Amino acid sequence: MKCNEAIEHFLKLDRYEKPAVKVRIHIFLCKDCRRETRLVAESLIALQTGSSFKLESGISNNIMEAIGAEQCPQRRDVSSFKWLFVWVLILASIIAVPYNKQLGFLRMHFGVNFELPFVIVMGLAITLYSVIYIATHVEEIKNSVSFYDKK
Amino acid sequence: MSEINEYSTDEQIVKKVIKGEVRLFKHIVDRYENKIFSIGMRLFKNYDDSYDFTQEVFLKTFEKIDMYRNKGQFRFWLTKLAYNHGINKLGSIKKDVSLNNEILDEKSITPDKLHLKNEIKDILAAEINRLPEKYRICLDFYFFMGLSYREINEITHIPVNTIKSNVFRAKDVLLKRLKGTIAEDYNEM
Repeated sequence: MKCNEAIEHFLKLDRYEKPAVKVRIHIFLCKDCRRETRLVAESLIALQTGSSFKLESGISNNIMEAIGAEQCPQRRDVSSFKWLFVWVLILASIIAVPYNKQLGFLRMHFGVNFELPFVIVMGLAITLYSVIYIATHVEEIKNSVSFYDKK
Repeated sequence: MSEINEYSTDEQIVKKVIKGEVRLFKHIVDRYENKIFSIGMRLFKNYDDSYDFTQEVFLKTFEKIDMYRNKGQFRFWLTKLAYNHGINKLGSIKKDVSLNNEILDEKSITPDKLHLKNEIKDILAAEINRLPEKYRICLDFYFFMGLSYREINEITHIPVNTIKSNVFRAKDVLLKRLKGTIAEDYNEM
């Protein structure tokens, strides 16, 4: 392989793409090509810290002020898995309630009329929990829905 | 407390921002403000519109940061968001979107406006300015944003082969001009 062919092959490579074996062998054996490829590789790394144009003054303070002024909602730090886990736990508790000794005791004292309000309260609790989840995850749910729509 | 420093990756910072450490978003702005501003200069060709564009992009990035799902590099996601926002803004202010063979304002291509501090950057800047306007942004994306041919194609819809040949020509010029320069002497050490 000639030097100019090896260099041309090297220059055509995409970022993170490795040269063909014969090119690598040539570069390994040829001092000039080794120097030139290193020169290009190091230049590419150096360039990544730059830009074509420069702002006259930084804007990060303006941006951070604007973000503060917008009073962005508190970012979520509880994973969806944890939300789901607690939801299942609440549901399991509701299902387990009729088998609870204390409820049997209350039913004995207040009669069958106790059950309906009790079920309503429990239903409201799980509904409220679901509403809070949806309200705090609107974007995520929207994205998931659009993702499945595209499929 | 956060353990973010100048060596932290974008993805590590973004993860913390999503978890509520909003102040760390400043690191992202500091890292990318000039790069995003450069996209603005390529599209709008004037300082003021590019300045506004840069601010809008970062505010939009913050608003949508939850949507970055650690799939791929953050800088690709940010570049795509910035480019799409720029194209929409261009359309909305009814400027010429075609960008064909236009040249930048004289003042915007003067050396004092360029953030190219050393020899390598100067050579590349000259080569970029020789290209037709619509391809210049490809070289910005490749050399300064560190994107691959495929990523640039996905953002700009310019064919991969066109991007590849422009980048190849720029690299070739870069190498030829670097030979026998300070950079090569440095490389010899």
